[in-house]
Amino acid sequence: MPNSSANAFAFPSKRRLIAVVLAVAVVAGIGAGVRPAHAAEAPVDLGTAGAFGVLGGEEVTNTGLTVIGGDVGASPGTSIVGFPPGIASGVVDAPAAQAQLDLAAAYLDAEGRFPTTSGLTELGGQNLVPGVYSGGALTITGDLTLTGDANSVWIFQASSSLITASASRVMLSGPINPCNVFWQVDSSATLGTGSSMVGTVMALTSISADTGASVAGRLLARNGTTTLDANSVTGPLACTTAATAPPATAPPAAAVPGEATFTG
Amino acid sequence: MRRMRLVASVSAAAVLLAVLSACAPTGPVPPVNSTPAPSAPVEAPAEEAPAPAGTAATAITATVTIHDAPDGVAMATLAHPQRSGAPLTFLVSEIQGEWLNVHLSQRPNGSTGWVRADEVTLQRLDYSLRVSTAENTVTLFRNADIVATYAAATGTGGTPTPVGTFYLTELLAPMNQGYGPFAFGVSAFSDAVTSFGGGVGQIGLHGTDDSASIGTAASHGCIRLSNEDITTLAGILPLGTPITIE
Repeated sequence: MPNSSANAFAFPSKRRLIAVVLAVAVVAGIGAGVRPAHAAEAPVDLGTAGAFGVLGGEEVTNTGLTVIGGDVGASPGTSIVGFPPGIASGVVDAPAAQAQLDLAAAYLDAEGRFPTTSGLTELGGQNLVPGVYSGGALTITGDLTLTGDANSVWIFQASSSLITASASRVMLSGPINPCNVFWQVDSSATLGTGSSMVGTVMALTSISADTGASVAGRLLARNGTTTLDANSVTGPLACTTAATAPPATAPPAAAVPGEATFTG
Repeated sequence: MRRMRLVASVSAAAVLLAVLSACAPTGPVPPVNSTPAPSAPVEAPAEEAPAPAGTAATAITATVTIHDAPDGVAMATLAHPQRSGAPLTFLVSEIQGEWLNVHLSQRPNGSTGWVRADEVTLQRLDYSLRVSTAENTVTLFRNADIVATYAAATGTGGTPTPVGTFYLTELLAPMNQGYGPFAFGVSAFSDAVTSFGGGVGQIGLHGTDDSASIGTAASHGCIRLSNEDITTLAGILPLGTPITIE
């Protein structure tokens, strides 16, 4: 029987058909969660929790001259202890119920990201490019360096604890936005004496900042206590990058309570 | 795993291009008809903003490294915030691309160093101060305009207030006596006193419980204002504000 020339469908060649099938399969694979190698991680949206420098679940307790950028609050607990002598640029004992809900959503978002590297333990001595880094109990001894730019995002996932050693530091190499660094901690986080931390720490249980620890970022505990001891926590004030546009006018200085030792 | 995903991505893109290739339209682009626009009315030139008094550089990283030159040797690493809790702030002297030359709060007076621009954020400063040790006054400027002149106490002959161009490094609400309700740190250090009250002889701009000393050369090097005047300044001056001492 002769083919009708008007409605003939010319099958593609075998080679061309295989190419189509491969293309569809790979694209489907990408759409299913196999991330292209150069896909950038999106920041974690903190919602209203982003306005807080320090957030607790049960309470926030402070000892000494702690300075906090942003709000300080606790929910469902209501106890905020040690302010003053601690001070904050925002509201101390700010309403925090919605912030805790938003923190829970942010925590689950961070927890659900696909790890770039897994099985990590000691982060000290490493130089890490943007990505998602996963481990059990994460520690920082010495310096951890993050190398990237203003759009780089790091998400650290600790299925157990986060502990930074005394005098340890998170160093930034490049015009990195500290508010694009996130620490998702499945239990509690402890920042060592005199240590320097960068980013938003989101702990399922509690956070303890030992004496003199400084944080370019936030300390947000979901269920337990956030404990402070003569710390500085920049809060959302850390969310800036070096300006290339005409700079905004500097605001008046915020007075910090302390012992003056000038010549008088 | 990442390498395999990269290869797959490249392969997918190449295959898609081969299978789905289409021809873009070809041929000359038709011209767009246009008519001359009417002349715009002449407008008066916009009033220019006054020149700033300076530029403050505030750290955005946990530490800032001070270099001896752009891409030069690292001389020191300073913590942010400072030990007092105040943000680490510098007064910018010069900008060269990705590097800033900044005044430093350290001996010898007038020290400068270089920092990477990506370790700080820049903000405009409109206020500046001028201290006259001869007249025992502090004059507040907003850009080029005098706002107010305040009576002050400056250093005695034996403990003079150092002269030069400096900046405000921090603002304290003192918990100890003798400094009034507010005390600014100045990036200047006494040439006569290297230890005072647990400190290293840093000059301050602060209030006083000794109001009778205002208007005289009576201090150990600091610049004293009345408690009312220092409170006024504490409410308006940012860190990094230039203070020139003559």
